[in-house]
Amino acid sequence: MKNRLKIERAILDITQEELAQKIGVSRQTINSIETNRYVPSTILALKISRVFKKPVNEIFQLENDD
Amino acid sequence: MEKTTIFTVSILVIIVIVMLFTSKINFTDKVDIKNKLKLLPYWLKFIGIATALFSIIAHLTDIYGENKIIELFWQIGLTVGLLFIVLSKEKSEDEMIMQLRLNSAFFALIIGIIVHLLFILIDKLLGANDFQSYSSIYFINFTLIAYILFFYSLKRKLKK
Repeated sequence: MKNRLKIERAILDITQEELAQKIGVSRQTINSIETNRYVPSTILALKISRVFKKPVNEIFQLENDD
Repeated sequence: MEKTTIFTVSILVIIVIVMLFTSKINFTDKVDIKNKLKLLPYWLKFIGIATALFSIIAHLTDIYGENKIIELFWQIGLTVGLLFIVLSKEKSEDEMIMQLRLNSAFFALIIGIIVHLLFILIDKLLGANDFQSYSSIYFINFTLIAYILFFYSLKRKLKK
């Protein structure tokens, strides 16, 4: 699974820490999602999509090997 | 078997049966589905570290177990201290920490069982038959230490 979290964050101009505070997780979790080391739960993905005001599909996309 | 052994085993069996029955009623939907555990407060971690370190230092001063009180404290204190470390919350709790906890608990259990089986094997091969002396409390301590090592090394890896 790939994600556009870093790009979306750059568009809104918010840091990992600010995003983490908005959705109630630690900065390490955001960092791990961005570097593809952790796949977030559906709840967390929906919270992220609410912050960016975009559907989950636009932020997280399946890859061929998934 | 001694009467006390039979008594202890039967109490353990009763506890397991009670846990199995209650788990069918409400244990599953409280633990499995929500993926959340009720843990002890964060500051208990420091008490746990202090207790564990103190019991190790106390043991080093009396390595041959001559003092019965220190010997008892070494066995119980270390386990209680490690349990406090394991069962207390992290500074920031979220779903990734829960996932790390689950993964490291699983690895620690498997490693603990493998080492325990190796101990049994070595004991049988050497014919020492003093397996009783390092059975339960050593297995518990080893598994807890393995869990702590796995959990914090994984957590540190993610920080990079």
